[in-house]
Amino acid sequence: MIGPSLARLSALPSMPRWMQNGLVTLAFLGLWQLVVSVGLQDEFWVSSPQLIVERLGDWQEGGELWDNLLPTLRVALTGFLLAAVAAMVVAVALASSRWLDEVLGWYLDVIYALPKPALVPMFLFALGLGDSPKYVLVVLIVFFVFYYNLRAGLGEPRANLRNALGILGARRRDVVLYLELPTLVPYLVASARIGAPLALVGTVFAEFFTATPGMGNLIERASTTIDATGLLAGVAVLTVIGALVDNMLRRLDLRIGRWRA
Amino acid sequence: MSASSPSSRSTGFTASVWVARIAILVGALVFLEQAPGTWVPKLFLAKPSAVGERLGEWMGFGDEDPILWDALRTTLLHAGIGLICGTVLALVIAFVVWRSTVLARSVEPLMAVIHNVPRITLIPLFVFWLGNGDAPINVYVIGTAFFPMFYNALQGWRAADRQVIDVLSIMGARPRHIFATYLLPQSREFILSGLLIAAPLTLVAAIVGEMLVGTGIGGMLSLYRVSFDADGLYTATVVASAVGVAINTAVGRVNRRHRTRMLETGGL
Repeated sequence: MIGPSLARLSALPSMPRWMQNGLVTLAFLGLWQLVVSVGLQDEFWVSSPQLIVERLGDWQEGGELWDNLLPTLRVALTGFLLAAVAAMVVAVALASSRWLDEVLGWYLDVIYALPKPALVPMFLFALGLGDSPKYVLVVLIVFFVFYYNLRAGLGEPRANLRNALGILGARRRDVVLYLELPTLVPYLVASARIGAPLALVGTVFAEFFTATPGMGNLIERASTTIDATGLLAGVAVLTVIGALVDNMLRRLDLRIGRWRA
Repeated sequence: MSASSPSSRSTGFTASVWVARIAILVGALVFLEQAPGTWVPKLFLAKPSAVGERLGEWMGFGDEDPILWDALRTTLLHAGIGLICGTVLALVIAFVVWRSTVLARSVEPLMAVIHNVPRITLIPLFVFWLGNGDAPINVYVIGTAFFPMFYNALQGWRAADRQVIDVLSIMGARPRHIFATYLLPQSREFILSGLLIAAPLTLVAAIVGEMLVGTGIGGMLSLYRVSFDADGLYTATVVASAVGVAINTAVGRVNRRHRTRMLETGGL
């Protein structure tokens, strides 16, 4: 991601970024609560942090939270992994054959340019209102993130290293195991960091229209019943999940990237 | 790669590539033309010939109203207005953050926090607050264009040479002079790069917003889906896809000419 890595050197040298973000979030929530408590804005329109926390408690007790969150996470994760594996296979295949690359890569570039969410009505129409349109959308979005990153990784010039390994007596298997795969790891992690939030958002967007349980379904239901609290409670859950996943992947990125200097 | 450099690539290779590309396209079209009614229930797919016919009607080659142009204009306006307003807003806020160390301490983390909220889930809220019209779409598209522009501009200005700025201000230049004569030209590449990332994203955002509100091409997609009009739905999908491919092609061309530092953000 471009944004978060730009923390200005001169700004708050002593405070880590997560603390800055936490403080700002707390200040924002406090201000929001204050505006509603004082009566400047009606709870009906803007809800309030207190109401949202109460609603989340209700959902936790009534089971709505897990009944909707788990299906969403399942679809997002499965779609994400399917896309990653498919992209790996396709990227390796196209990188190893110039002819295939010229023929199929051309089509892939065109498919990449399609506005994917605009295809959702078509998927719903052809595949029904179950889980399958969600999977199709998530795979279609995440596939290209991995595909283009892996192509960049596979295109990295490594002829010198490969020759050196050959002189040292490495077999084909050793080259793949100790050179090809390790060079791809940073590209995989970078793809995961871009793809994971997209998988989550893609799933939720498709769930606006499907009939199976999911966070998008929960939010859509809240919006049709003009229930700002329910809507924002759903948004809050997704925001927290997104931040947690990004944090995990960033740590992984740092740990894996260390040896690359 | 010397063996396969473009000059040594034989014409036979190029010919076989084009034959294969066209064969795939023709095969897909023939399949789609034959499939409905034979392998797939008629309701689920539209024949390319029916799509072509409907497209002709929408463009005005028949007795029907040429509804395509209005829808296209609406969608492109949503995308364009969002891109312009989002860019201006992003440049203003990025400039504030870049200039002041005090404000930057609170504004920048605030942007990071807002950036983390999945925007797409907020559209129903915008509709709830602003009514079922253009306003929620505009807000959503502006929000989409904002972040690539904001982070790219900020990155560009932070790469600026502090010494040049110090010298300029010693010579009596005001911030706006420094901005116009040094900062903006110097960061041209970054801002162009932000625009190239944002442009295709705003189109997608406009269509997504329209799907939920019911105007433009996005509105057509929603309408024909719920009215089970397969030909209409697939035609609208083809139109949306064509616009997407056109914008991406233009972006790719500009990017190749100016070699910006475009980042693969893999947006929706």
